[in-house]
Amino acid sequence: MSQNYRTWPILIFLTFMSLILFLLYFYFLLDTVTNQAPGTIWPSEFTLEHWRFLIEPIEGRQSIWRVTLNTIIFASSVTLIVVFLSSTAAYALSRLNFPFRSAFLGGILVLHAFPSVTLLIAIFIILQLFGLYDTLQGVILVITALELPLGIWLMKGFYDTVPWESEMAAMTDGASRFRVWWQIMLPQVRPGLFALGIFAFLSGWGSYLFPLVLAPSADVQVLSVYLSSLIDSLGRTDFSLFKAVGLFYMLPVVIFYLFTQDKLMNVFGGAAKG
Amino acid sequence: MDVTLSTITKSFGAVTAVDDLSLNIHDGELIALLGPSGCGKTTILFSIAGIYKLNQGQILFGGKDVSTLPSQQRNVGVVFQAYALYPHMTVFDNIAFPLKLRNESQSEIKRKVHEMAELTEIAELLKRRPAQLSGGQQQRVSLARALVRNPSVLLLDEPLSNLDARLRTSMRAEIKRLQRETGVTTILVTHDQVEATTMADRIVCMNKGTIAQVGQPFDIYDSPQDTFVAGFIGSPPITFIQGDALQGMFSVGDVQLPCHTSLVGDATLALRPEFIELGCSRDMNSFEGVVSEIEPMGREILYHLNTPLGKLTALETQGRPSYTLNQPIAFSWSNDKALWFDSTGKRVTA
Amino acid sequence: MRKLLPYLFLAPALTFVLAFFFIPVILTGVFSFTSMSTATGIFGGRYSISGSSVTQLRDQGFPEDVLVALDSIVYVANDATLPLASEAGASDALVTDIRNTLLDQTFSERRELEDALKQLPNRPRNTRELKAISATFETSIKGRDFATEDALLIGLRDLGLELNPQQEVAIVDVSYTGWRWTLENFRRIFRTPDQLTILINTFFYVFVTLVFFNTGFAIVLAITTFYLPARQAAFFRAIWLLPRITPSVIYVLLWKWLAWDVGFLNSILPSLGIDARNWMLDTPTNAWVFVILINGFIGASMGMIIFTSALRAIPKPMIYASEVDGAKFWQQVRYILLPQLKWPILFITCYQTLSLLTSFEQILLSTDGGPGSTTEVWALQAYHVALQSYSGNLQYGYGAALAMVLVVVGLGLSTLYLRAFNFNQLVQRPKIET
Repeated sequence: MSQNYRTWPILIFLTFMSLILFLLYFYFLLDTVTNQAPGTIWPSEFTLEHWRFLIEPIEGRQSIWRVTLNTIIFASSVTLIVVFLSSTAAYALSRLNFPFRSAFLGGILVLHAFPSVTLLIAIFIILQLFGLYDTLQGVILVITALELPLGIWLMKGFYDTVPWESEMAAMTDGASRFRVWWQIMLPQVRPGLFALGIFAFLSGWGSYLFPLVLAPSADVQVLSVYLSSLIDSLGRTDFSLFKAVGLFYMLPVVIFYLFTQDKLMNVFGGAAKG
Repeated sequence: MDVTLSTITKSFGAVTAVDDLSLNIHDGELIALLGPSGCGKTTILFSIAGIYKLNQGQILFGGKDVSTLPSQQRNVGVVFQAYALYPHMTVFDNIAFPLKLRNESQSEIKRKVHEMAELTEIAELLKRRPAQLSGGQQQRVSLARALVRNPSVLLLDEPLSNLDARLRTSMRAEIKRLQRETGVTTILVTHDQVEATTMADRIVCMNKGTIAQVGQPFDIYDSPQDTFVAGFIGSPPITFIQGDALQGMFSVGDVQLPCHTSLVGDATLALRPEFIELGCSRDMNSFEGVVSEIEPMGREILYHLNTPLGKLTALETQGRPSYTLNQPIAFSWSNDKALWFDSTGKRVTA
Repeated sequence: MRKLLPYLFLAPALTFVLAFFFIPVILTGVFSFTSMSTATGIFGGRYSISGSSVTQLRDQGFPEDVLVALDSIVYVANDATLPLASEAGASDALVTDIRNTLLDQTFSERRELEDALKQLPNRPRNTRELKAISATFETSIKGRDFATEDALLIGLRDLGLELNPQQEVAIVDVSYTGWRWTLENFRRIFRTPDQLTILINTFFYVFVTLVFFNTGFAIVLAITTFYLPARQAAFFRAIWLLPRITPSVIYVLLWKWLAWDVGFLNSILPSLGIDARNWMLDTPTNAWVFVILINGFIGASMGMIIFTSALRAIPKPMIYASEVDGAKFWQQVRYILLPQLKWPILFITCYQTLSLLTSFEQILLSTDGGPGSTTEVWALQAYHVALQSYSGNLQYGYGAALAMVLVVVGLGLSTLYLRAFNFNQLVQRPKIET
């Protein structure tokens, strides 16, 4: 950047605008390991009591580990299926010649912009019809489907940047189109696969509304539903416990965020560009 | 307006781009900063424009220190490498922009823009947008925008590098004409020696953030002050012959040549290809070599020779090739055309 | 094989898209024309005559005796009840007598039946036997559950009623407990006065959040961080990305901690003489402030990212050129940066309009439409009606109709955007033609 404008007024302005966020997230971390006397804002003691839920289940509830396992199964299944299906479908849309290709592309793009949450009610009824209501499989299938338009569009973008020459070379070397995809193209879009994988995992991990409606009962609860029902039932009494559970729930997000922030920015950016 | 750079230093983090450099630029002069990429020439230009702030030193416009002034107050006109026209404005608005920012009156703006458009010969393009212009036209708009404010100094950053070869030649002359007609002090940054030698009154040859040599184009070509300038200026490039000097004799392998007595130890002999005379011999400096490669370049022919002194290049400046591949060939050079450099690379003259 | 390859690659993904996008879109449309609810069930219905069915039939002018038969307990001897009578101890002779004289006659009072039985030649021998036998002729259709239409009709026939086909159809119709086709849902949307309030809420919410945050503040963030040194810029962008990556349940929890009556605000404000209260829900104004802040803080980051990359795409020399041309900070923003953001701003505005219009997760988690229903928006209402009713009756049909409005708007707008943002540019033809 040029040095013709002073940046400190900007710095002060942004800091001021971000105060609420600083406050929210600072106390988010602080409250999980401290206690405050009522009516004060500074911690009076260090404590680990808010983390007891890790050892013994909160009264009348599933063990947190069972819920965590559900969430891991849920988010990883979504990730695997989304990455696999997007990488095949996007290849076809990016590189193969077939009738109605551009119609398919347009359809995917419309779905990408289309607000899937409006379909919640119909999906709820469909899962009941198929007997998949209140099962982890059901909600996995649904979230997978909802992530697909984004995934396909994102992977198409990555395929598009691979030079045609490398594919042409492989074909003239005698490789079948399938082999070209598997051995030449897939390795070249690996950054895309990772980015999409992370994105799909995080969005599975964070999703709330669909699991809440489609798989509410205790056996198949995921962490988001678990935490919200905890807040609903214990009311306003124990924010420190909620925050501790919340921080536990958020750990994978934080880890991914710290290590892949740049990529994440790009994906969020790319996700919207359609 | 005179421009003086006084002991300026500019670094980016640990990298020093310009190192304690001083230079006087005379009023109305067209001076070229010439050097390979990364030598700091664009940094100097951006520092003069006020886009970069100096770490040390002063920049004076007509004796007035402008080092701490922001770009907006320096009154410099800049033509950027890719022209940096504003794509969302018409040609007219592009040229009018600096005037508009100075709150000049509509009629004044209109008059000046039209005047400048006449001068740069783009009067019929004023309603278009930059995307609808050819490279040469964009170049003219960029010049018009830079000149319309009557700048204290005009800065040109590689102005011809985005043009094709044919257009480059005509724009060279065009820029020179505009500079002469407006009389504005102009600093041209380029890595192309032809551009520098054809356009500039003086050339500043730069190397690694410092000035290697300042002088008129022929000066620099004929008497480069060090091996860097000798090697950088001239195409096809000069040939360097490394050897040992002792008591007036210069030895390369088995061969010995007389040289200046002040040369001791590692020394370099440099010969420009056009000064090697083929098929002729003298009392001194005569050798025989073998043609290893022939490069016809149209008007001239370049020979690569294997000689007892090592590999040499020689230029035959007229006619068609008189020699064939692997043919033995006698050559020599005149003593006053030879350039000698000491172990530090500095020029040694008789 | 070569011809099939594209489809093999596409098929799995298409199946998913078909099952959970295409079919739900169609079914949302289908359901919106039904009366489906918890009461009707989502599978085909059953048949049962209830008190309200009888009332409806009375309104249709059914004869009183039929209504009485449907509504009350009657006594009738027929093929269904006679075997029961023999089991209860009626002699074969008595059964034959009944079959000859009383078959299919309906008695509304047990006493009348018993009187008739007493007239028969082979009448029951004593009162106890009479009572036991007469009890077996007791028949009632009200409240009985029939799986099919035919079963219901047989039941009616067993009642001994003489019904013409029109009457049968009418009774079948009123006794059907499953969902049926109806336009009522849409009529309700247009006729309920509260629906207008919700529509206004929705527009207010979308407009304010969009203008102040998703577009407005996003531009401010992008431009200010554009001028900051790289590290500071990255820091602030990271801070503003937090709301988006924090799972919504936690994110809203943090705001609840700020606003609720045992929360942070109430730890400091009372010392300034302001009473403690639940700031998120105490007045409609405060509720709106929080709804908009909560959603706006998430929404700003999307625009920030898009605008930042658009600003980064501006060639540096163009920025420098404007500075040597004399542009001050605001002039550079106004004349150089903002014109470059024209399309991204339009894009974000369109895109975020749609997403704000249909998303309700954060409102559900924070105010849940309250206090009262002052912050209830269209999408949240559809959710409440169809999936989270306190009365226990989930009105799928009505909810689907409300959602259908959003689906239509969503499909329309996203198709429109596709055209506006130059879809053809994005589709290049494959260079390998086989």
